[in-house]
Amino acid sequence: MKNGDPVIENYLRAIEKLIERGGEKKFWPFAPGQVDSYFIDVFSVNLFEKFKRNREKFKDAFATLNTTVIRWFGLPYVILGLKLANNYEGYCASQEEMTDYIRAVDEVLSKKVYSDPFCLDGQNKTMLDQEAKDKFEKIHRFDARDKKAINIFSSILQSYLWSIEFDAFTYGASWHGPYTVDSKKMICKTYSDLNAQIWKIQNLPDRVDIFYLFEGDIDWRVGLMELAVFQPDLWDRLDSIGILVDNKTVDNLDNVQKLSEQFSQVRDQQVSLIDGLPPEEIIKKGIEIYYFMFRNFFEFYQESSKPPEVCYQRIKDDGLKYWNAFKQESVKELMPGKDFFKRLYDPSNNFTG
Amino acid sequence: MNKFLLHNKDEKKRVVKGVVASKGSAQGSVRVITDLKEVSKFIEREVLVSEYTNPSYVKAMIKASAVVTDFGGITSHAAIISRELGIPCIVSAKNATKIFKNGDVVEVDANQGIVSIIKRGDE
Repeated sequence: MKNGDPVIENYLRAIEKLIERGGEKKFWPFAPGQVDSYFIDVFSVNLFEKFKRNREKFKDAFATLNTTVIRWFGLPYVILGLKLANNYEGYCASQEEMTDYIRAVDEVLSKKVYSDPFCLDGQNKTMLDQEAKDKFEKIHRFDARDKKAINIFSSILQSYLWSIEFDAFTYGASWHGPYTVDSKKMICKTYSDLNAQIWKIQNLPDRVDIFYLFEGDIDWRVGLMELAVFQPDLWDRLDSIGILVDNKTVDNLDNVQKLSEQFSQVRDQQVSLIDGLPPEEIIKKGIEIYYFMFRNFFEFYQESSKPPEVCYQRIKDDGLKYWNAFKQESVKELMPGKDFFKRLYDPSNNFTG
Repeated sequence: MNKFLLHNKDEKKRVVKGVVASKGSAQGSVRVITDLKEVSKFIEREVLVSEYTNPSYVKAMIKASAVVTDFGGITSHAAIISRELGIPCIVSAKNATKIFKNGDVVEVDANQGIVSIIKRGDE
């Protein structure tokens, strides 16, 4: 199949841009492939069958997910999963069908964001400027001088997420914006699913939104995974910051510090716990995290977001086969370059690495 | 003996190049962390040098004047956190953890992607 379709071209260009920015990477506690190999074909076929049965219902169900989940875990990962199912399980997802799947996802994203669906413009506007302005006006504003404590808080939340979702499946952190608020620019970092049900962590706030308002234009860009790239001199133009915790405004730094301590403590417990887990348990948790991030989608179909038994059975039958096969021995070995990943996630070929 | 004539090839090197993940510059004393247990020893304004970082390294990063890692791209843990903290960060600096030793005073030029030793810890 020739990729003349602009949606597919844009999708592949977004992957290329993302990998270009990625570079070498070392993952914790497992590398890509070590866990997804146990379930991604099963997961992808499940989604794809729903898509084929009723395209519009599938789109409605997909729209219940946050954009990070849709853009990365519901798109290239699913295409790869389908190609694996085709190559090794005798499944038959045609190139045309997979192309249409990508188009459907693009249609969902186009309704959820007010910027390029695949972030090719470097933006991720999940709200209209006016909505962003209205929201920010109701929040207590911290002075730019408070940024250190708030940025530490944000860094702790990010590292906490890595400790509950693992590097490879971190879906709970998202940068969005930039929004124009009066003559200023506002960007926002949202942390969600902080109360990690998979790990039975309770009594923590579930969502934190941090709004940063800047003077003048800002050099700030996001890619397909909603990770932002910017330079530290951005902070020199910071005007003010607002924080929402579970949609309630935070109005003093003592509370920010208390939350930082709370999340740090749980993060460290998590790292110790995970570093002590046998690989089989990490694989199980990884699969559960992946299905959990799609829970709203499954709920839409009145289905459980618990992984199907076949995934657990594979761990029993195959043991550590895939865990060992994709083990990160050398960072360089694992980063074959953008052409590799573009081929890997391209529906027009059978390449699965 | 000429102070630059060190036995180990890596130890002779006084400059390491890497990829800029967060621009800026800083000077400070090196603390190489290869084991999570060493994170608690990290002192305010030291330069964190590590192979890569896992979530618990953030405790050291929030005290660091700069971060240098052997591995990683501009979307690695170290890069993401350094940008949020507004501190210089150089990733993919290859053998930084072997070349730099605790107590070395270094200059991190994260505009050019270069880390240079100003003074060896044992000099």
